[in-house]
Amino acid sequence: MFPLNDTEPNRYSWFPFMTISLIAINTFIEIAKPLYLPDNIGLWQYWEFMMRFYFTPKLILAAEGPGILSSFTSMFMHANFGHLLGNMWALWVFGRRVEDACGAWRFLIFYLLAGIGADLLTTLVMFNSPTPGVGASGAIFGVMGAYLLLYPAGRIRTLVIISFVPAWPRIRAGWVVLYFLGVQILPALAILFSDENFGVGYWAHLGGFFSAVFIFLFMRPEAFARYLSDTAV
Amino acid sequence: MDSAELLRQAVQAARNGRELTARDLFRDVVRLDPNNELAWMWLSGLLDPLEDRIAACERVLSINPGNQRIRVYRDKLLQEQNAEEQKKLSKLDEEVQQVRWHIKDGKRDEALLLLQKILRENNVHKEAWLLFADLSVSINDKVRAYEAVLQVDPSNDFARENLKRYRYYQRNPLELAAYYEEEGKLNQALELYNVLAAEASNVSEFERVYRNIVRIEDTKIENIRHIRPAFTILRLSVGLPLLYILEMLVQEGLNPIRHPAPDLWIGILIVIVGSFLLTVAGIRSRHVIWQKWFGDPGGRGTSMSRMLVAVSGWMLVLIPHLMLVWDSFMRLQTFQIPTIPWIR
Repeated sequence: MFPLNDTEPNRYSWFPFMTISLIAINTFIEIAKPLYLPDNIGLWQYWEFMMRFYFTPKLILAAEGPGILSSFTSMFMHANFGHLLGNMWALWVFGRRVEDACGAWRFLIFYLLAGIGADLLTTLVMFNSPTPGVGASGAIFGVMGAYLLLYPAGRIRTLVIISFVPAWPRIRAGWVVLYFLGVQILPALAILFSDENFGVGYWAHLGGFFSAVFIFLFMRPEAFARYLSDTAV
Repeated sequence: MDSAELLRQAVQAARNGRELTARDLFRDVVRLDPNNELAWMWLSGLLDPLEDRIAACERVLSINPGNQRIRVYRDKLLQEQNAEEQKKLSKLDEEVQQVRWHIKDGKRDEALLLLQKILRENNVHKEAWLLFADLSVSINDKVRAYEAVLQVDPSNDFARENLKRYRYYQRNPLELAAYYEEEGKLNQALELYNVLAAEASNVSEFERVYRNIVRIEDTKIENIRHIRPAFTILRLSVGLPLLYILEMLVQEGLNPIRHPAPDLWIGILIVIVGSFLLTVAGIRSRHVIWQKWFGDPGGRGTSMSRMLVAVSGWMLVLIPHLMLVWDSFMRLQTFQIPTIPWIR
């Protein structure tokens, strides 16, 4: 299941300035990566780089290293282009209308808050983990959670492959988001109860998702009034 | 004919029960002899409005201050006048109370009609003018009402403030309509927009007003709840301080006691103030900041004052964040990169 596009139009603004800007910044950082991380870099230099810019729960808990700075830098970096593409696609699909309901700057603050919420839960659960984490997915799960809260009846054009036959129906947003949430839960529990490390920040995803409840602090007055009135946001 | 002869005829007419003739003759007497005590005494009983009778008594007393009979009579007339005024006022007060009930029951038109009747009868009734100012949609009527209140009670600060405000709205009527909307008075806003649409001087002005009319009508159709601006300001002010608290928790390893940084925690207060200022600048609503700090009569802030407050807000929000980033940089300076755990 791969979400392709949100088919509903914006209500308050015509251009998703902040979503586009976030995608542009993330993409620029990934493109510029060879400048600060050349191919022939040694293992130690790479490790050093990760310790400085990626989010490492063990360092956070010990109040060592870059602290909050690593939360921000890791939120704008990705492991590779595939990682970037997946995240940015999801940001585009779900972020456009969440930004519309908040306004650009409040959306940015919510995005950062969800990213930090993701890091906090990761630190709480995987407090002893020396594994550095990277990617915008925690924040993007926050955006997805916000989308679920604001537009549960919205429809997402989704690519589904059934028996090697592709189809792209418009699936209710609630189901799409809950599917993505559902696939996080089992691995997250496995991480919690065993020493498994799947190389994916499942707890970050959940942390970001749960941070979505704060979306109500960032909504435009009109959108919030519509939400309280049980009318389409 | 001299005044003595006129006086004799006047007394004769009065005694014969021809009161109107007698009154006219006594008037002629006092015109010829303004200090004729006897003529004034007769007039104090013959004149019609109570005020004129009292004035005649006063005249007698000014001619002869020792006239005890007239003094007693004057005091009786004054008591009568007081009682009459009280009766009139209590009737008006009852009607004003009725206006309040109409307002409470949502019968605005009835309330306005009754108020107009009250003000026709007594145009110095302060309460009635204040209610009229509150109910009337027309900005000119409001200005007239507050001017009337100030004539009755020049020390009324509320009326003075409002008069200043509505004179401002006379020049910027759209601001008032927007204020009604913020307060959830959609019908009043709609009425005012309709008046403004009718008074629009060109097509673009009409379209601007018309867009607002359509928007409010849609809001009414969709039954969108009204949320008070104060609540919106409170709600939107929380986000940035919350972000800062989460940042601080990450910075201090989720344990502010084990890794204390009081200077950074003080930043929360600064962020709260900054976030509040940013929100107030962003939400178009009447706020004490615009009235007290910037002396804006509309109370909703000019674009310049809003920009100033927004810039101050951003600065207050950014300073603690920069301190936090600085703290991170300082930590990086002394940071010992740990060994790679998977390589022994």
